[in-house]
Parts: sequence; C-alpha cells; structure tokens
Amino acid sequence: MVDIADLIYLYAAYSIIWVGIFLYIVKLHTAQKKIENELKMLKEILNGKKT
Amino acid sequence: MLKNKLRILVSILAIIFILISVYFALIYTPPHEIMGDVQRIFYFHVASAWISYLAFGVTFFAGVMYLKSKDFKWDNIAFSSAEIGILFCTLGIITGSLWARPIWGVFWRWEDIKLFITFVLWLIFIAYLALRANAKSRTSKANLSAVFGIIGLICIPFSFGANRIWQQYHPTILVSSEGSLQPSMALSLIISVIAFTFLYIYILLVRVDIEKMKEEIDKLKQKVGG
Repeated sequence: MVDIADLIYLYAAYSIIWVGIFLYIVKLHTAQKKIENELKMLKEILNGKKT
Repeated sequence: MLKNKLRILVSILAIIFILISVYFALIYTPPHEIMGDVQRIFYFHVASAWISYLAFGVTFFAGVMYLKSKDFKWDNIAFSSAEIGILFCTLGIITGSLWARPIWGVFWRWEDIKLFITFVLWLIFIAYLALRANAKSRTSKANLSAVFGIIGLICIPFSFGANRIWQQYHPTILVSSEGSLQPSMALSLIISVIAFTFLYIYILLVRVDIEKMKEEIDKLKQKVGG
C-alpha cells in the first residue's frame, strides 16, 4: 500500500489537470472576445467607407 | 445560431460529465488494492492520453482533407486540434509522471518505449506549432502543417501499442486477461473519457471559430488598406 504522504501526488495531478484546462479555456475566451471586437470595429470602418 | 446552440449543448454536457467523472474517480471507486489512492490519477491520465490521440488523429484527417481540397477551413481545424492535442498530451505526461513517482520511485523512465514514443509524439507536435509560426505564406504554413500532421500520426499506434507489444514498466489496462480493472474502475474510466471527449469538442469549436475570425479580419484589413 502506498504511503499516505503520496496523496500529495494525487492532489498535484488533479490540480494541474483542472487548473491547466481552466486557464486554457479562459485564454481562449479572452482571445475570442478580443478578436470579435476587432472584427466588429473593422466592419464598422468598412461600412463607414461605403456610405 | 445553430453553431452557438451546439456549443452551449456540448459545454453543458462537458460540465455534467466532468462533475460525474470527478465524483466517480474520487468517491465512488474504491482505492486500488496495491497502489491505493494514487491510482485515482489514472482516470484522468488515460482520458488525457485518449484525447491527445483523438486530437492528433483529427489533425491528420483535416490535414489530408486540406491537401485534397486546398480549403483553409481544414487547415484551421487541423491546427486547432493539434494545439488541443498538445495541451492534453502535456497533461497526460505530467499526470503520468506524478503517478510514477510514488509507484516506480522515479518520475520518468527513458528505457520504457511507450514513454519515449509518447515524448517523441509530443515533440513532433511542438515542432508542428513552431513550424507554423515561422512559415512565410498562408499556403506554405498549411502545406507544411498537413505534412507534419501526417508524420505525427505515425507515432500514435506505436505510442498506444508499445506497452502491449513490449510489456515494460507502463501498465496495460485494456487487454489484461486477469481483468486488472474492477467494474467500478472501468466505469469511472469510461465516464472520464466521455467527459474529456465533450470537453475536446467544445474547445475545438471555440478554437476553430477563433481561427475563422482571424481569417476574416485579415481579409477585411486588406479591404480597408486597399
């Protein structure tokens, strides 16, 4: 049987998995928002040029 | 609109299955009789490895489709999937090392072929991203990526099957004649894999959407500039 002190590895593994995935998703959503805003701005500029 | 609904549906399914999988992995399933609670790492370690194989498989398929059609839509899917594959491959390697330390006494064994090939697979896709970042034109970026994605796929059967062929240190779970997995452990593993599959689909939908918007921005910038 593995020593109780080894539970630190279980804790570390679960923390790394969930924090890693969470941070990646947050990064994606931040990038998505930024790109959406940039796209909106460019469309407005183009519409302004046309009119 | 339909795409947004699909994304919301997949994200809800991912959240539900993640909560169930954590409950099954940490509470429902009893600790392993030899490894104890450290074995609980295995449920998400295997799920991470499975998603990395799936993601690199999608990269390969989308790369082939790009080479056939020359449609950048496929290149966006390939690139997005490769990035997600690297994330899950990294998580699989780290969690595997954290399981290995208390069980083997070391974080890593270079002499284990499965570990070595998985590390090579990870390196190939890191090189894939580096290659894309340095390619000059959009076309050469997509062509190089497609070829690299195909090379990367060659490693997957070896990475998956190495422990079944050579039977070194890395445990083999699916083909054990003794049935080393209890039914509750097998169920926990299946739920974790389903949870991560939904998570992968959700992330892929978001990632592809970002790439699509980037392309649209490039086109609009040319129009604005012109």
